[in-house]
Amino acid sequence: MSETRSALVEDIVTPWSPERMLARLGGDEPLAKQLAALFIEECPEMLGRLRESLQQTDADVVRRAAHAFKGSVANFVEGGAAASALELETMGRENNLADAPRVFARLEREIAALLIDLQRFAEGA
Amino acid sequence: MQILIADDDPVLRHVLRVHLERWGYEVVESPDGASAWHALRTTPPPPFAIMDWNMPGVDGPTLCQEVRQTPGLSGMYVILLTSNSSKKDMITGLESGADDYIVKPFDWDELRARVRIGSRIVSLQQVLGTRVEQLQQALSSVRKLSGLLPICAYCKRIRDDSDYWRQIEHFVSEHSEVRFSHGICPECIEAYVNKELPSART
Repeated sequence: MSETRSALVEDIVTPWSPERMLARLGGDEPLAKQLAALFIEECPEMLGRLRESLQQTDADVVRRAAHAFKGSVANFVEGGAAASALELETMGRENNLADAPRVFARLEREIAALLIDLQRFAEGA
Repeated sequence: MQILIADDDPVLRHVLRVHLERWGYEVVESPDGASAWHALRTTPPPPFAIMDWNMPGVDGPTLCQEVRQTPGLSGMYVILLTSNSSKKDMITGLESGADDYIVKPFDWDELRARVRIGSRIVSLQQVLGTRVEQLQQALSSVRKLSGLLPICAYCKRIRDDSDYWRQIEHFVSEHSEVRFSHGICPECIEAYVNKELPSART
């Protein structure tokens, strides 16, 4: 799988597990693929909203955007990108955004890796 | 039965829609609180809503409060979806007017069971609503025979709403299910029939 991942994301271990997702959906592979395709389509906009919120430096806006993004990512993974989004949400809640750009950069790489895995899954590879 | 899904996560909305449709429900989707409120104000409104706690614009608990305070919507069954699992949040959610509260990520069998409980309550409320309507209709026809009736002290005719003096049996028949069969009581036989018969014979 790692041969087509970009150098940027090859060190990221995505805790994406098709088996776990399929188990949650009662083994419904077509539905799991639809959800993966939907996330791939919607993710850039959701991630963009989170990026914009960080530029505004309003902690509560960051908290809300990170919470929304975390919810969508959590449909696929429990740790990794979902954990990073939770970290941003917590930073927003605690009004402490000093480390937020670093965490967001990590989140972007985790998402890039997740999207590659989801793309492969959605295409049936 | 129609169910409104209000959630800003397109992935969750889709997977919820697929499951609810498989379970036999009709689904309406809203991506935020404001459009959910708009969808709830349609006629007739969906009797059941599954709302996310955190949404852009109006959040789930605020929407719940609005629903409970709005005539025509106050009987709606509402499930709040949230990733907040603390007891304090659960109480806040239920006190805002939600009927049930589910923490994400949830199990589909659990959601199905909870949706079934909700739809049973909605159906019961609809049956009760119809019964109350029927009873009110019955009560209003009974009320037609209550109150003050102007009656002639001599001939016992009743004055109706159009100012006509009506025979009492006609009046009562029109305002109730009562029908009359005419006869003569023993006292009247004595007073009228027997008294008048001899003169009729002559």
